[in-house]
Amino acid sequence: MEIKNIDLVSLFEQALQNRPQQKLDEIGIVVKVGDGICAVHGLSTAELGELVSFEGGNEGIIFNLDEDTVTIFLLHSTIVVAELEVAKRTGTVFKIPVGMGLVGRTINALGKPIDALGEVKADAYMPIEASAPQIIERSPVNESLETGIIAIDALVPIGKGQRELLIGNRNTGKTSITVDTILHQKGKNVFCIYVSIGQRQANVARLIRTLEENGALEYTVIVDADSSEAVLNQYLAPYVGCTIGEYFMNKGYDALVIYDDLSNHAIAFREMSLLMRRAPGREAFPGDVFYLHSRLLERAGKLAKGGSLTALPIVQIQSDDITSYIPTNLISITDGQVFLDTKLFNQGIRPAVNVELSVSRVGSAAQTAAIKKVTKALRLELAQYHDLLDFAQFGTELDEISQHKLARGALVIELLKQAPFATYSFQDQTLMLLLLKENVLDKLNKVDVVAFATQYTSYVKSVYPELYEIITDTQDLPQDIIPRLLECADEFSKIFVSPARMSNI
Amino acid sequence: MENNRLPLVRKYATAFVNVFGASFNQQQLDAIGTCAQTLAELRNLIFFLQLTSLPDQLKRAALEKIIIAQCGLPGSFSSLINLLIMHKRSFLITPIIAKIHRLALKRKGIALFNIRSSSALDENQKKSLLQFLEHKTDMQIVGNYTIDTKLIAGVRMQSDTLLWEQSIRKYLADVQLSLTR
Repeated sequence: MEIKNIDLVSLFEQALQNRPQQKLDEIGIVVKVGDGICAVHGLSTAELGELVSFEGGNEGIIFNLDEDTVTIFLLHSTIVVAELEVAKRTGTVFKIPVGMGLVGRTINALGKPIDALGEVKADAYMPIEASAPQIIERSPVNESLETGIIAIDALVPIGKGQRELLIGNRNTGKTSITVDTILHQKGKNVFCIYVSIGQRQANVARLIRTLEENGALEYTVIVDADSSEAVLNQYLAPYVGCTIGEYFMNKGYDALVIYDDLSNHAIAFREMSLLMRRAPGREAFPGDVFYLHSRLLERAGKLAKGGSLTALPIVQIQSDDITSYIPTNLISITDGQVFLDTKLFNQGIRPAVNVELSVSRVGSAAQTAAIKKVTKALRLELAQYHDLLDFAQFGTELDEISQHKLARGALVIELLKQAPFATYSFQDQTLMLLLLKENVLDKLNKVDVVAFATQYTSYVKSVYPELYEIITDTQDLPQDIIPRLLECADEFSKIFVSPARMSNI
Repeated sequence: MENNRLPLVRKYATAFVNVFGASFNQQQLDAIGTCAQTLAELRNLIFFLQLTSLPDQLKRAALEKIIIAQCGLPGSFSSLINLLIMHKRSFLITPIIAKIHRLALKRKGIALFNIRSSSALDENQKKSLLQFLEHKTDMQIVGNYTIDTKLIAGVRMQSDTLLWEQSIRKYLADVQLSLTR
């Protein structure tokens, strides 16, 4: 039993000063308990979602109100609840601490810190269920949230306040994309909240270490409800993360919340519903599983008064089937999806973004003007490339134009590859995509494309910083600097040495 | 008794109290309470009532002997016994009578409180506690007094739906919670 560092003298002083309680507690009696759930007889005036405390020290949340009993899910799996134990109404709902004191901390789904760094200093305590911002309070999504991943920022751009679903098989890089996105928010005044639902503890520990080593924990909150936690905790975790993000949003800040992953969340909710004997529907999920996620994701958005909450929910699919129940629910709720393809991943194309199945419903409204200018025909090029690729597999001879398109497409694919933890700023992405657009990369070998592009951006940044600053300040690519940038590219190509040649030297 | 029987028990009890409840006096209410406790101790009775091989007349006779003859309950309980036997639910007699007792008390504005104290209470203390409860609940309070040394010092007053406790045991439990949670 872990004991908090509290001054016992002040506790006793408080007790001596307190008068005896004047109110009678409304109570019920536990008639059934097991599997993290209990039925309490009585509590006839209790409300749905109310917090109930047990005499043995446990607490629970009311999930069902029946004629004679209420069904309560227990918050603490280690505190025993016995039959015939007294349960008291608290008159309040479950609340979690929110505020700046949570930044850099790791908490569980009950809002308690689990990083051994002491108590969390909360600015306020807020209920986890809240209504989404009304239409009149919202503003259109028109500001870019850079992920630093060129495949996403160029082709499936995400804006602040958008909900973009990350969908893919297991081990296709979904979490890796979210980690890169968090790392890229350094210095951008975006608070990040990573919610882990039903994941392995080792994975969460590794993620926390990665964020810490890269200085990302200074602006990140981790909410952990791993697979060893009670099913109620896994159910609560996304709402806890959303509440923390909402606090920042309402204070005028930009926040990013990542739910990893909502398929585990749906499974936890299914387990809870089956324990409550609710009628199972499709795939044994309860009938309100859509509402479970829609009310969570609708709380994200961009506010007219300032502040935004961007949501990146993750969903895991089986065998690349995006037509199953939970994924289709989430696709219909969100403002687009990034589909990560196992085949592409296995071919070494990472991030394995399937551009044909990925979409951002916000589109170029969420892109900086600079990126917009250099990605005009990129999607079309890729689409034509994939069409021709299927055709080329039959071994037929292709005309020159088709061969050129195939070569171009291969270059695009190569440029969009990106190592983990190596994110590009929008300025770097603009320069790299400019090289592609102006056919500067056509002369290079495929293996040299990424090295050339990244080294070129460093070259411009260090040798011609004024050009770099123009892009930074204007967030655009003015027409008059393009010839100068192309001259730089020409200059750089004379001194560029292929990494393959470098290793032979 | 399974939880899914609770609504059924409540419905039988509510119907009985609706029909006959107004006619019960205090003595009869006390007898009903005593009968409920007696039946709760007769666990074998429930077993035999659940046996389908026993004829209904035998069950009826046994229940009337215990409930009406020995416990001294009003004759209106015969109709309840007949109804339960007809519905093949005579094994619910114990919780139904307990529920009838509670409902009848509630209808008459009487609340039954189990008052536990660490040491024996004198009459003034009992009167003071009852007045406090009557003030809080707007009901007439009937107290059932017991000694519970586990409280260490203090009083615990509990009914079906309400609880008031001021004791060292509660205080220590609260301190333990605030230290560990």
